Amino acid sequence: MLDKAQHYLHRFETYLLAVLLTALLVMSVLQILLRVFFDTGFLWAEPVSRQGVLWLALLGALSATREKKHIAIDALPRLLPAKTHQVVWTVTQLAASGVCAALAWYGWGMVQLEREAPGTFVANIPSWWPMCVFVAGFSLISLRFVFAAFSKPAEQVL
Amino acid sequence: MIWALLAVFLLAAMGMPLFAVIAAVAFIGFYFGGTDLIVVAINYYQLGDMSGLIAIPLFTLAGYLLGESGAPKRLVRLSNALIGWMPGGLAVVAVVACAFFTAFTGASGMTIVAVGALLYPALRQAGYAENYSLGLVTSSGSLGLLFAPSLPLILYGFVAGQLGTTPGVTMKDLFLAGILPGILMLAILTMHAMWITRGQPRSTTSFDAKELWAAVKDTGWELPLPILVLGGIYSGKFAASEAAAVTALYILIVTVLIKKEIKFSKLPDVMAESMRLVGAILVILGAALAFSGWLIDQQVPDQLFGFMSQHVHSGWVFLILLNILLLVVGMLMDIFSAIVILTPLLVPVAMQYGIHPVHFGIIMLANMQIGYFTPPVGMDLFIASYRFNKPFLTLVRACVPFFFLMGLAVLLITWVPELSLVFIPH
Repeated sequence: MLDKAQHYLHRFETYLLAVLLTALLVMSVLQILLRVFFDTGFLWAEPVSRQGVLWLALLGALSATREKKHIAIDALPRLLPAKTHQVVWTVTQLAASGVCAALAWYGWGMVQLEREAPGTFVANIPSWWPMCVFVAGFSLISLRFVFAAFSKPAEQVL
Repeated sequence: MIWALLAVFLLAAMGMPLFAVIAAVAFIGFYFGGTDLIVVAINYYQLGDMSGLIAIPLFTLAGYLLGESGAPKRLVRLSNALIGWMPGGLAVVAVVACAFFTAFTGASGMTIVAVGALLYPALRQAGYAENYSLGLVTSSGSLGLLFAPSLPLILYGFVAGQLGTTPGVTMKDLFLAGILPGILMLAILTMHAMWITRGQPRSTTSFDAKELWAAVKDTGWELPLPILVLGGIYSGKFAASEAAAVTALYILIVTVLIKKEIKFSKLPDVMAESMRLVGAILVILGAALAFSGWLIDQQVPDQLFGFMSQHVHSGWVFLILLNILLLVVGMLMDIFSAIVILTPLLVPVAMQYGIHPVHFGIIMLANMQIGYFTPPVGMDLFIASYRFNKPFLTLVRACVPFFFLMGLAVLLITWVPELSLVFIPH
């Protein structure tokens, strides 16, 4: 039951990444067509696409945490005996989780600051709204590093 | 502060993901500097406000799609028909095909998996020694890093462009600057290949116009790519991000709709896989924004130059030290992390010694390229060892001659700035 839920969650994540990427691609191409042929473009497209890249980065990083594909210097721990390697893996993943929690926490502080002197993102959306994605992203990544900490260390590259 | 930093470095050596390491260093730095730590989040959040950053996910997608398609096979066929008949021809084919493919896939190890795996058996069959073949295929896995639109080149453009130096660093300048140094590397490997095969009987295959024409037709959809990317950017018609969008869309249409080599149902998985790499790189870039915020806040580059200028008086000595430093860093760290950490630290120092920031970038990438096949962490060594099922040390030994060949190229690139700067107004 839980396994199944997890499976669907991971599929959902994959599709979300694909949809977000496709949307950004379509938007970019549309902007080029508008610029080249009609010498115009949507004003909101640029800030939205920049934000989209940030979301893509956070979602991609979240997925990379699950797949244990983050870039790390991992030549040394590989030489350790299996048990020690596991301990070292758990410690480093928990430390990474702590750093991400701090990023989320101070990200929340950033949101509060922005709310005191709100700017606008696009149209009527205040600038602190998209910032919440930063907080949510690193909260989830932090959580996932905890899960990763108590599973097996990453396999060799590839 | 020292103890906190030492603890973080220990964690880094033990395999803590590097983006967390860099962010932790920024947190520690700002904490002991008495600054509110919200500044780390604010700097990190700039990641969502960088113009043109979309080039990174889009070019990465393009590279992954190419890798999953039949493009590597067609590319090897075409190069073979074109130059396979020359002395050392097949080795030259390997060099050219790898360089082309790496430019598009950003040296993420895919070159060895996709192109090297085709070339290694072919080289062995054509009678090249095992050591030479392994060394060539492994060390060529990072060849082409200096050609647009390789990811490390683009990443350097973002990090260095962010520094606001005069003269500045633009994507177009970088793309132009990489051309000659990249060709130099190809030329050195080509000459070496011809020298290796001297005295051997002529290549068994002779030039075959029919095969060449068939290969050209077969590659018809991929051939316009370099023109699309390079022409678009160099002519000023497209920004790098726009060229990325056009390239990604074009490859998407060709591989999925026209050639149908990637099934529509597999597309989300390929996309997600490519975005994991993008996520892993961009969280490092974000952390580096916070880290370089701290460096600038503490005027670390100025202090570093103050210290250096007491001991290092000439630009030449600085460059030699730089080569050695980059070699060591390249041995220990991946290219993306090294770029985002070292660029804000060293570019201001290098500029004090009169080195152009674009030239600096090319030196750094060329230098780091060697790191892909040096122990202990050279990624391509692991990938080749896994892919060709050979012991790690065999590959290290096979790469030794190529280490010196590429080292020679790096020295030339370092000491002859004109190679990088000839096309750039400066």
